[in-house]
Amino acid sequence: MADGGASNMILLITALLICGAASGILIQSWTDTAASVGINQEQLALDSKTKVTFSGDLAKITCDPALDQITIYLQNSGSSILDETEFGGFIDGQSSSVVGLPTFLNGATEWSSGVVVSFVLQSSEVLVCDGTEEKRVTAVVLTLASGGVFGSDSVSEVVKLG
Amino acid sequence: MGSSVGIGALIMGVTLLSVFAIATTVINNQAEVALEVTNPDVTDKPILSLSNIGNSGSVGSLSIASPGFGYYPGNLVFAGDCNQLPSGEYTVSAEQWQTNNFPDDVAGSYDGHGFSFVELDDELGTVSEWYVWYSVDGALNDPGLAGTGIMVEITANDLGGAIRDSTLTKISGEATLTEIDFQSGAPADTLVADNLNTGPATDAATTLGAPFNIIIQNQGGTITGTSLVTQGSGCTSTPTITITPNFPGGATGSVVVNNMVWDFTFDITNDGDTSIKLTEIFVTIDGGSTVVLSSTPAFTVEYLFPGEKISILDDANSATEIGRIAISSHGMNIAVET
Repeated sequence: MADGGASNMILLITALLICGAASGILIQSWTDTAASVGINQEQLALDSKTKVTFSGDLAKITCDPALDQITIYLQNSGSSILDETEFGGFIDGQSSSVVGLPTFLNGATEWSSGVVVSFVLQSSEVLVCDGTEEKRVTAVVLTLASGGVFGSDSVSEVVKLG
Repeated sequence: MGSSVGIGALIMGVTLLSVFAIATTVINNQAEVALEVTNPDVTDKPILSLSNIGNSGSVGSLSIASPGFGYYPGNLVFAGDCNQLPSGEYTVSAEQWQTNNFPDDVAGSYDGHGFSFVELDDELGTVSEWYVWYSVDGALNDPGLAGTGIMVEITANDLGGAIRDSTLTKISGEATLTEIDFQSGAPADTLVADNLNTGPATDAATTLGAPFNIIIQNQGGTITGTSLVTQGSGCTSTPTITITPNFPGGATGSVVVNNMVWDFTFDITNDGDTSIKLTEIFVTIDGGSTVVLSSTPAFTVEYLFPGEKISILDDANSATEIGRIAISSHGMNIAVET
């Protein structure tokens, strides 16, 4: 009986230790999972608030044939603040660098909702600015950081260089 | 043994509760995000329409195509299809003349000679005729020219400068001869006459055989300047101009519109079901810079509500007529061409 009691005690204590360890691992695992899911959810939520649209006259984009540059206007149609310095531009799929500093319209100082910003894009190809050439322009924007995540959006339109 | 089972059960219970709590939090968050993604907090593309495009102008400046001759100053009368016709005025030159050097008298060579001229009493066509004549040593040989005579008494063999000075003295003594400024043409012994009123005048002339002549005759009555009193508005084409002097006369003059400044008008209607902030509508003229929508006078409202229409008058002051107007807002891009 005494032998049986001792072995039972050993089994029980062992079971308790294993149970405790498993509980710890389980809680830690769920905590990590929850944190990861939370970050993804914040990312999703911020993305859903991020929207950029083209402004200006798409059929007569300002174009400089001497410098092979075009000027595009982008409006923040979302509710998050966009970062005008974190911008990617593409002309017909080719990455285009931004020339100079972006310009806020209407006296704005930050790219908040409704604000239009103009960007001058440098084309890697020769541009014909006589109102006949059509180009697909893509813009990718990023929000300012919110809760450690960044929202993003992109817009793509065919424009005529005028 | 019983207590060990209880502790084990307690641990397991607490663990499960913790996991459930975490899981519940995760599920709640997911539900919130799902809701946000389903109803994203972004501005929907508005539905706007453009209508009643107008392209009217006003006169920017004038130019003199032909100065003409024989005009009194007057008005420029505009004609054309304008809501308000422009108005303007023009100015003309003043008559000016000058003699050559007055020579010395030689044994009464001035006697009975002289010169005639016309004084413009005003700029409405009223004139006075005058003539100056010389009497040497009291001979009193009046040439009898048209107008009021001014006798200058000189002595035979007077020097030219003295004769010129005597002439000026006698002229200045005429109380009603006030609209011509007579000066000596220093250092030479000449006489310079400037009409103070602008407009045409009969040329000064000397008598036949006079010892001196009129050598400079600047004509009055040529158009020298124009001014716009009002620029007009709502013109659909460049107005034409008729020269209308304050007193009849003049010919071959022509004043034309040098340049027009074109404004444009249009209506924007909100055909959608959400209000649109006016400062979030942008306009692009003829492919130029994109700027925020504005009007003259400035907007007094902030939003364009569903079904509302606003009229835009943009004082673009462009040198040429506007061909294309584009508006854009939150992904909506529409344009019309005039």
